[in-house]
Amino acid sequence: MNGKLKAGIVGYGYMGKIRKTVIQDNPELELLGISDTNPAALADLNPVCKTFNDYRQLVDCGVDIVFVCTPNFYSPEVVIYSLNHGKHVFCEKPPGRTVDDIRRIMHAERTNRGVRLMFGFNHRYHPGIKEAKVLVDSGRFGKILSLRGIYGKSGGLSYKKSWRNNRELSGGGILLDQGIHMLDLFRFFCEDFDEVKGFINTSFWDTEVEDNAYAILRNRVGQVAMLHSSATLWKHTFRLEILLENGYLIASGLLSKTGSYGRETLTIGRRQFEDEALALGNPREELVYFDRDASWNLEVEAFLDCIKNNKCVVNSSSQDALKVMAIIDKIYRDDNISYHDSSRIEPPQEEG
Amino acid sequence: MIRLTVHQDNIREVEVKPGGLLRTYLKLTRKDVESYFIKGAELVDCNCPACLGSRREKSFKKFGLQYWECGDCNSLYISPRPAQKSIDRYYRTSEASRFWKEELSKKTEQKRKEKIFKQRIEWLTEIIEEYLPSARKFFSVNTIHRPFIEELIESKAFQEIVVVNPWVDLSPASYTPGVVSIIDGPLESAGLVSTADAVALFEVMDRISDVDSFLTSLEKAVSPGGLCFLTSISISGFDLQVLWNNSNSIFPPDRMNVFSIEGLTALLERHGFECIELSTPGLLDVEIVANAYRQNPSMRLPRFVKYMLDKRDSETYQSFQEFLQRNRLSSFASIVFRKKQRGI
Repeated sequence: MNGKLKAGIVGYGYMGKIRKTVIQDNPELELLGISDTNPAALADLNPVCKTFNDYRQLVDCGVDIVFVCTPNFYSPEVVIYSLNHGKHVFCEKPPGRTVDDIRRIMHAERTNRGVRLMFGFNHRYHPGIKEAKVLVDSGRFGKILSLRGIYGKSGGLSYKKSWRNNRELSGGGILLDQGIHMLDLFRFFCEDFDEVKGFINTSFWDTEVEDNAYAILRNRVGQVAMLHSSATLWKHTFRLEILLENGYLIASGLLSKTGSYGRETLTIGRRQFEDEALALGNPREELVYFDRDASWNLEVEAFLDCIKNNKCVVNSSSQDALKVMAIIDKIYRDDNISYHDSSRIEPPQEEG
Repeated sequence: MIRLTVHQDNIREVEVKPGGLLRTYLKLTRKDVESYFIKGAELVDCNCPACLGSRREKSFKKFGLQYWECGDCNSLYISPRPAQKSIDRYYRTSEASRFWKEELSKKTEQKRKEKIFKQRIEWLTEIIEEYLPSARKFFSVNTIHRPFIEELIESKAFQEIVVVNPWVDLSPASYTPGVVSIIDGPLESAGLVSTADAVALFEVMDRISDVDSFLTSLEKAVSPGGLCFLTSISISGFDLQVLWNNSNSIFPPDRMNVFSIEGLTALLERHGFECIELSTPGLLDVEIVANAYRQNPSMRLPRFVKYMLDKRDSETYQSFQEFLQRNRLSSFASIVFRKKQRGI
């Protein structure tokens, strides 16, 4: 495939604006148009690109790729329409509100074989996570024993008003919004998890959805992962601890637009048998700081590589989205919560 | 993305630079500098080798050679300076150099291997795994540390190791045949083009006379996307700023260039390289200043530093050292840079 691919964005909110920058920064992409149901949101875009109030007009205006940046309620409809019209689709997480949503999306993906579909699990491309993955895959630290992840927000004035806490639009609370990234990372580092136990709470905020979720997962090789996803941490926090046979890795902080999650670091600790007498329980550590987050760009580059070179999407694929949604569904069901009747389903089977 | 690495370790100055041996080394260096450079070589005036700035201020003389501080990037450098040919001759034949290789380096070899070289090899293999897993040919330029090459061979991290212009005797008997080859001349005249996947420049840039011409040759020798690993002392660091002319680490020709972090960055960018890691993971800044103060209590030090050394304990020293690392203010710099791919 030669020349630039024409891209369009559906939904011009927080994520839509990030995607616009990513598209404009990528020499292989040309931004053709943006659609949003709110005309005021598009007011400043002329003459940057074409604008639409109906996403179908955008999909039909000659784009090759559709970036879906809509609230969860709308995403499946837009993704399925785009796939059925032969467009490659990059969809923000989560892939809808329920397991049913991602299954319907996968059905459309299967019936439109030539198109590529990827989901925005950009945390896989954060520098600290990438570095941790290289170290884990090198085998120098041995096998992963367990994972512990904390991902949380401080809440804030706009928290209650956000569409993310409107059950109909979002389908779930902090777990589906943020916790999904940590669960995706658990899967990124370990085998699939088949046992899931969870609690969810609406402990502080007066919202329709949970503001805290606690989960413990185990897979068939005995790796255990613990998650705390929270909107009551009072400090923006991201921390993933990976405990291995010969040491540990701690990815902490996230490079973000506001910097509110703190400096992104990876702590590398090595188990040092011969030095134990000197520094019992306090091994030598190495801290790596990262100054620039290229995760948004890198995931789109990976997606373009799949499109241009006719490769299958293996990172952040629909299969990944399905499996992580199944874990979330199990956590909700484990605490007898079902925000939508349609989510009351059995755990998904392997999709082809 | 620019990485910054912070180390927490328990290395001691005395383990790698025992006082008695260091004093002898400095004494011999002073003598050799006089005979090789002051009396026996032509010296050439130069601008700042890092940023090429001509604004400068006289700092101090060491062993008869003049150090200047750059008015733009604050690097410290010697001018006028000997040509690279004289420097190469110095490292191959001088008494000081012989003492370094046969006495100082040998007597501290075990500690250096354990505390320095093993970790350097881990560092470069990890970076290579992440950024250039296809790397096969590893170059070590102006090698002064024989144990590093030995550790590198033992690690089996590379299929091919090329040592360019070694300043130490690397006897072929200790190598696995076919793994290590030697180019017995300076990089600038080796005519290498897009050959090296990864290059080690450990304590090399400090002693290069014509930095621009060296980096031009390096840029040619490295394959597109190839990685370079540089370690050096940096004038941005705490102990060098505090001790300045009293520092035992600043002397010619070992430290002819004492670049600031800003100067090093400008230098690498000017030669078309892109920085991947810019760290100052030094562990010894505070200890070096504390030792110097202990040996000479009448030494003039900033009040804050004196107060900290007098009133606080090793825990504060350690956490201050970590602060220096986190803010790229330690005097030991380790940098990874790569040759840009075409079109990027």
